[in-house]
Amino acid sequence: MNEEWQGPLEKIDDYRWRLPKSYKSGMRVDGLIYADEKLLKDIRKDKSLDQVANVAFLPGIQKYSIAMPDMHWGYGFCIGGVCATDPEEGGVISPGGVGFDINCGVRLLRTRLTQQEVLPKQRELVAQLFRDVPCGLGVGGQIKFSQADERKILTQGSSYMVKQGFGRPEDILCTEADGCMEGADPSAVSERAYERGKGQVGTLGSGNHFIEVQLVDQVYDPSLAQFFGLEKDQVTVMIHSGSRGLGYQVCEDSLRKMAGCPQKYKIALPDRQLVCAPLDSPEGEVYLSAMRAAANYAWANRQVLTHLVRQAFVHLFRRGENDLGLDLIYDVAHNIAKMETYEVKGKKKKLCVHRKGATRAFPPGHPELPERYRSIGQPVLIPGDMGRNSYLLVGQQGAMEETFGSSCHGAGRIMSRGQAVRISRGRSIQKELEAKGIIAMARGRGGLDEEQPEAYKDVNEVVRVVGKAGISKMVVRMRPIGVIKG
Amino acid sequence: MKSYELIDHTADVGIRAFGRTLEELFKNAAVGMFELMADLETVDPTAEKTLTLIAETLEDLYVLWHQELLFRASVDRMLYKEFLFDTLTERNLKARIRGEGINFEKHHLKKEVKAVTYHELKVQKTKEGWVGEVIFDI
Repeated sequence: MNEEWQGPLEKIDDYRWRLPKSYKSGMRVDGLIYADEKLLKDIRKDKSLDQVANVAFLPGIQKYSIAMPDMHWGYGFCIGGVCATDPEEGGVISPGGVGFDINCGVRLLRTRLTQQEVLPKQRELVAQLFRDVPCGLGVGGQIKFSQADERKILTQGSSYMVKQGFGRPEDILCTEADGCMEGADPSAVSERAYERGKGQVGTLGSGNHFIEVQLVDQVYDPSLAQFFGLEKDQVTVMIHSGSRGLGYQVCEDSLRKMAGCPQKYKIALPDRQLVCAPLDSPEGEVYLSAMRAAANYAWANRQVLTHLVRQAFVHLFRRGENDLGLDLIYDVAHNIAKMETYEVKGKKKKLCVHRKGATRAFPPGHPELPERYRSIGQPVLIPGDMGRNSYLLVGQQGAMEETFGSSCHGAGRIMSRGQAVRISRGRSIQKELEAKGIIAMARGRGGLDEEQPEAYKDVNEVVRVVGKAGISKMVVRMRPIGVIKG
Repeated sequence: MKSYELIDHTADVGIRAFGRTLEELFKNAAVGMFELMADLETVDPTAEKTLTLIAETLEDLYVLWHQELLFRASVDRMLYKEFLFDTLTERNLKARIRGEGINFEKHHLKKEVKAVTYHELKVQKTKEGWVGEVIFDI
């Protein structure tokens, strides 16, 4: 789709590459790219490396502009980008570094069901989920919330939904930030955002969002797998969704409100989508309060989706929820900005970490981890494409030292949607998946074609890089047997 | 003259729209965006709404136009296919937009367009008229 990127990349080792700040005048730090030679070949084919360089323009950026091996061309930031800024050095917050889908994220549920119990009902199960979970363009949520409820959702996140009966108290303990960011201000969220979010709580959306029924197909670390209560052939469920229209609107509103900030605060930017404001400016603070509210909406949304999934399993298998398990292993945000503490040049600093398509990956012992995971490290959930695999990893110390506690977030696209549709002509992606033992159902026309496996990098290669680089550790791998999409 | 074409982007998708006049450009761009969401042949223009927009530059107006259409489509669960301009300058527009409420039985729906980005945004005058480029978050 583009000419190959010809800029300079210096090899640090087999999994790390430096994009020197001499590449573009205005870069404040180097770029640091996690990839192997094979992945890099594809990465050079789009504009993502240039976007890594552009992010290095942001005032107050610390150490380097980082990209994960699933990186690809985004808008403003590359997808797979990590950037930490220091408020004491004029550090900025950039809404584009979080993205439109604020707190888009993934959660993983563990069932007590095995392959033998589920395979005979595989198609029925996918159909049940497809019926019960609102997904796709224009499909509203089944549960209606008033604007007063919505305000509570924005301040309380997951716990509001659990109080309403959509989930279990333990779910909150197994969600990043306990499913609720502090400092959310519902009055920072526009009427328009409320309006867009009103009917969409408990909806999946479309694009790359999905619910997958999976089987554990490889165990890499038996003792950690046991810790998570997972073994080979066990059935898991993965949910991928975000803050829906409310989040998109919060981002859109903020980009407009911040349009004058680069001039006001004398910030030179190479791309308008990177518009930003100092963290301690009124514009920066308003965005952060609204972003946190949208993040809480996203956790509430995934909490309701979890409830719908549990109900669908109960209905189909005619067994109680406790008997089926369906316990939440963890929920991660992969589009978010958070204040976290890191050591930079021997000094402890509170930094704003932007993760645009990157997952937090705190190592064992990190004080922000829930007690149950403090000894093993944070679960890191990496979905792949719908025909290959997904992973459960745990965070490692390397992430604290190098990547501001971050890891990759998925396989990463390799092919445009148009190209994916073109190569799908005359084929049935649904039948091809079925031949691999995967039942897929999608609401929108062309959705499966655009999201077909060949459009993505091989998640196995991506995860290998974060493992070898010491920022995450592989625990188990899953493979899909059922997929629903919008 | 082609009305619009898709811009290939790794994760998302863009629309490069053309028009002999600004009206035609804005109309073709809007049709392009709604074609991402549904097969417009299945949509009838039975309902009408009026939009009035003001922006500081033509590029801003172009983005605002897309944003407003997406917002209305999302909140009202509508698909729009006809766009008529009572006023259109480089800084403001008044348009009547016509479409139909989403009907899952009748309409061939495709995908949700999450948002309009400013990444590689362009509105330019050409020899033949106008060209506009915008990338959407999908």
